[in-house]
Amino acid sequence: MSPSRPRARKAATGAELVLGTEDASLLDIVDNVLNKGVVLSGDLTIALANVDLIYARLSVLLCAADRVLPPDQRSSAQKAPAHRRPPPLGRPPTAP
Amino acid sequence: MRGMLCVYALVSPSRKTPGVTGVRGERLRRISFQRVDVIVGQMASPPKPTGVAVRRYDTVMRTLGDRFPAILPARFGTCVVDVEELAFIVKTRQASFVKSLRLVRNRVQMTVRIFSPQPRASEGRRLPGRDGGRRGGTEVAREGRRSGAQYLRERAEIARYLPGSEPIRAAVKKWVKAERIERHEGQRFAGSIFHLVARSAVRPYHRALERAAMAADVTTIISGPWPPYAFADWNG
Repeated sequence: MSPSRPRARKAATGAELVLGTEDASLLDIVDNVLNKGVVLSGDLTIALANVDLIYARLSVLLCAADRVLPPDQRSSAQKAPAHRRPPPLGRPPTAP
Repeated sequence: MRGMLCVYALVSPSRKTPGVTGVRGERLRRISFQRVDVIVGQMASPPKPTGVAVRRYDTVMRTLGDRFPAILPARFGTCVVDVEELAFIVKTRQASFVKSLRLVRNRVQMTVRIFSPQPRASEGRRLPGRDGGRRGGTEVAREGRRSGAQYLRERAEIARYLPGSEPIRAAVKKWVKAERIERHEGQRFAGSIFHLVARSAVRPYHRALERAAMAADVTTIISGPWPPYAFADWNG
């Protein structure tokens, strides 16, 4: 895949006024390299009818717990007793 | 130096070495996961997007594209902390990566920039869609019979409308595996078309597109072949 110079038509004087050949090449490189390509993070895109509706960054939530919580909080979270858990939705919290 | 892993590309499983050094001259290596391999380089910090660096990145991507038949270029500067994080990301998105690798296998990207012959006025012209885009939102809402999905599909079709592009796209349709359109709001620069084309079809595609552009008197700049940047993370 050798590099190819952008080939403007002879009649494309309007485009050449907008961009020289060198500038057009750098524009393509910048557009490709900085604006396209795979973005690796825990992102979730929910699409409907091929239209992206919701773009939710889940990179923090999807990380493993040991990468998010410090060791002391991890151990206390694992040991949380049942009676300290919040009540189910729809029920008011009971008085202590 | 621990640093971080700079991700260059995702490729189909292979035994080949990358065969090229990275943006900072660092050695690149291939990390294999179940159905996707990842080309990475070790760096102390993410690379800065200078002119030299982005050109070098494109050169690296072209070399990788010559060695690996299916490649998904990563966006410049994509870095992860370590292999564990990379494994987590690849695992959660493996299905879509495998699908994309299948799409781009032995194919390259051609880019067509389209320019308007004269400064464009506001979009009062007829747009595609059942109503040509003339009806307003209130009228559409009153109709009520159109489903939400249908409405969104029609709006997506409008977003893909690029004036002057129809004869060009029709002329090369038989070589195009996938197409992506970006409209621009500039007065002269109408938009960009990205075509995914088989490597072997680049020359006939190019000839046909040039002929169609001249016949339609549409100003274009055609470039490529490029690695399939525009289809690496594309939902179609």
